[in-house]
Amino acid sequence: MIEFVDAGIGYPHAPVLEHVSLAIASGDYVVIHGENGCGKSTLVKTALGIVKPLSGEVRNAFAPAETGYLTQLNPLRFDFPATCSEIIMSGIRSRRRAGACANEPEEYMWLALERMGIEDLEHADYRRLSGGQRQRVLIARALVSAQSLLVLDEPTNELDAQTTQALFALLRQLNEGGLTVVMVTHDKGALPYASRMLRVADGAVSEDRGGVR
Amino acid sequence: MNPFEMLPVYLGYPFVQAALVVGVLVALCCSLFGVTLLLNHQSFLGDSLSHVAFGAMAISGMLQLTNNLVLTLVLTVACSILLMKRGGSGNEQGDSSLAMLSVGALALGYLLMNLFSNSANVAGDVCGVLFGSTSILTLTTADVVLSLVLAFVVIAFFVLFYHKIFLITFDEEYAKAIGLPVEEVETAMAIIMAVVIVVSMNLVGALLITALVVFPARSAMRIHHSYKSVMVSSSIISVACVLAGMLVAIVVGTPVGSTIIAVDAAVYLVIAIICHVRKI
Repeated sequence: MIEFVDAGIGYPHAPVLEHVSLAIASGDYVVIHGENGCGKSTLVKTALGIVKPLSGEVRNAFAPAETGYLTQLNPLRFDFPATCSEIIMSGIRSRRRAGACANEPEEYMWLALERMGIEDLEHADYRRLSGGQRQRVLIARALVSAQSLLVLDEPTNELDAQTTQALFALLRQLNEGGLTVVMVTHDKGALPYASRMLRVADGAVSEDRGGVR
Repeated sequence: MNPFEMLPVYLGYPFVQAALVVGVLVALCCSLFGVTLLLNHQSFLGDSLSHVAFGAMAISGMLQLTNNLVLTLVLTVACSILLMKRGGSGNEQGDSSLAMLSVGALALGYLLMNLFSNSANVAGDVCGVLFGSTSILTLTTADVVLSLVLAFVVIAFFVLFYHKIFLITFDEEYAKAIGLPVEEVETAMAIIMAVVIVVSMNLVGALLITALVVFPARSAMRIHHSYKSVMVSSSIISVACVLAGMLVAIVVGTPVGSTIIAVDAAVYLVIAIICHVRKI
């Protein structure tokens, strides 16, 4: 479970959200929705311990080594020399640390490549991929390390409509298998797949609605 | 006699052997850090730290310390950690901090050397520290041992933390989210890098360290597309260029540091042209 107790969210000179109190339970499929710059990403970064809360308390009971996380695409890394397999396998290291590698590590990678429809990119140079391909590689890395919690920050950026729908369906399938999913998006198409929607606006979590599926 | 015919004779001298050993080890260390610094958009971090080391040496001189290494190391390590925490040149604030520290330390060092030096040839001393001079050819056994220990620490660090360094360099936020000790690894890297810079100054001088950090890594990144091959290839290119540069410098009598960098630059140019022609 992730729990925010009257938490102030943001950065020391730029507070974003105030008095956030909510809990994300194990098995939830939460979509965090809102306009650009409203604080959605900062909210999930705080939940994962990347950003410290300005006030109040944030507790995360999910083990970091069992967490999969998709950060927003970083243009500074577009010239990073790495193969897709190196990037995805780096996610498997945390699975190994958690002692949850029942199969060969490569099998998790191949499954993730298949799920994202990029089997042919295993040995491809990350620098030469399109934005959409890069995004799918990074989602694949998040999938291989996510054993109990999967957090995706704007996963549909750069994806075409067909891949977006396939991703939403895959996430629902994984959630039905017991994985907790938290997705930040401004794509309203994600809502029918989720079990709960948090709306962030005007410096607060303005709406918390269950049963949107 | 043809200067190159004298090469076997030169290679028999213990001071030449010591220089080659230290040269190879320093090249190895710099190239490993080079890849990480380049990928973090911090190429000038090495340059700035070498200027800090130059300033620290001048302060040691002013204080008339018998061993200037300790103070130089302490000040360079402190600045390295500080700059790493501020993001090096990877962001606007880090970039300006780097520039201010770089020129500030250089100016302070030169000022102190002028005010407090007992030497009759201050300009020559400054040139020696900045460009390496011939100090690489006057190494003691202690210098060789120090380089060996340093190289062992650097290689062990990169081997043991290879996957963590990859993850942190590629995606720091992801690394934090999955519970990697990002701050600790970055601090260790900042400390080791500062030590490498201080020791490397003996080889190529303060001003040319950036080249030793940047050229081999850039060359390797042009020809390889996997992180592992870039790391390995960068080390091989760096070691080969240092060996070639030192041998040419010894035989022809050119400044060691400048010759090494000239070889590094030539290799990069050839690789860049080949990649351009082959559209790699």
